[in-house]
Amino acid sequence: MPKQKPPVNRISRRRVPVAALMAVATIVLPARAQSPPPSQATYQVEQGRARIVLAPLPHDVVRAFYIGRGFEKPFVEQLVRQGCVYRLDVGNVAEAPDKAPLSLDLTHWKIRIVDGFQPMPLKDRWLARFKEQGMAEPQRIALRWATFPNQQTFYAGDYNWGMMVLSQPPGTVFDLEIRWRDASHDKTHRLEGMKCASF
Amino acid sequence: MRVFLRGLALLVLLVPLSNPALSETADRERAPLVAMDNRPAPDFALKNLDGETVTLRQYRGRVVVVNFWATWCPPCRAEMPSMQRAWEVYKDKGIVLLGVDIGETDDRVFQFMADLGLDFPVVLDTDSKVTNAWPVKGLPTTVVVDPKGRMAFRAIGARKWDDAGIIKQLMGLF
Repeated sequence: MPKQKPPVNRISRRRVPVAALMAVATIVLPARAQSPPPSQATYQVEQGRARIVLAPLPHDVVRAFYIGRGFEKPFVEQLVRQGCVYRLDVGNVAEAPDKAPLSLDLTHWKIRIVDGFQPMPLKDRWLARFKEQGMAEPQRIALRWATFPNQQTFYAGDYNWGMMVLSQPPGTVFDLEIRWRDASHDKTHRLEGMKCASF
Repeated sequence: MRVFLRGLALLVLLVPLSNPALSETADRERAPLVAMDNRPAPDFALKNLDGETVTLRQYRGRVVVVNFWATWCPPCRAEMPSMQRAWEVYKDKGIVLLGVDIGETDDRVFQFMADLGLDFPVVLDTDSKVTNAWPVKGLPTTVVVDPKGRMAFRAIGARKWDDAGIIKQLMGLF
């Protein structure tokens, strides 16, 4: 763990504006899907150049995305009932002329459900599994580009959004150990008590 | 069913806007472009929405802003209006805004462009093989190619493409 005190160190957990979400859902969804989504906590780490936000995606958003990309309904329902989809938003919040990179390598991230920390399931594993199951190429392409890349480097102002899929059922509580590299310094933070979206 | 799916698609586009994280996007969009190492940009030959083949090489002598995107990507959608504004003002000054849509049909992209009133050039990388040859890991990513066909700048995430600072960087490549 680095001993140097970072210029900014803010960890927060806050509520998504559920009212806004419900308002949008009420406008565009038929009655079957109008039940209000459960409150969803987002998890945010701001430290040095890094801004990392994790937010569980509500099931209807997951359904909408995958059905909109042409995925078969059984696959989408399986994903909703057995998966746990998060939005990961990572950015380098330094301002120019700062030229130091922020690097992320998800192969170093670890998840703990019950026992010890384990490596996170990454997009390569999902893509290989879905290819074996006969998923068509357009859907695999969509999945690949919608899922956060395993490694990425960000310079001042850069940011990326992507999905992160965990193989856990709705409502699962877990801890996540996240790592990144800020210039030449390795950083680690543990997010405890995170939760998959529940019905 | 069609109405239901259209509603769901709209929800996907709108729900991220309810996230407080997006309120900071405007600041991010003004960040300057990051200099690259002037490697030659990989050439490509892709179809546009009229079914015509477009190559990168045909734009040699101009500054080409190659934007990799998809209709389902909220930050991609966010930067499109500024790309259109930049296209309208600078297309006669040697700057080309060229969108490379990844993995989608011409119908979907055409509808998206029409809905947003966009008319800058767009090509379709339906199997994402062209994109794989470029330094692109997430969407949107934009690579600026100089008049000699070299990768001069890049941006990961949305930018405000008609921002004075970014335009100055682009014009500086001539």
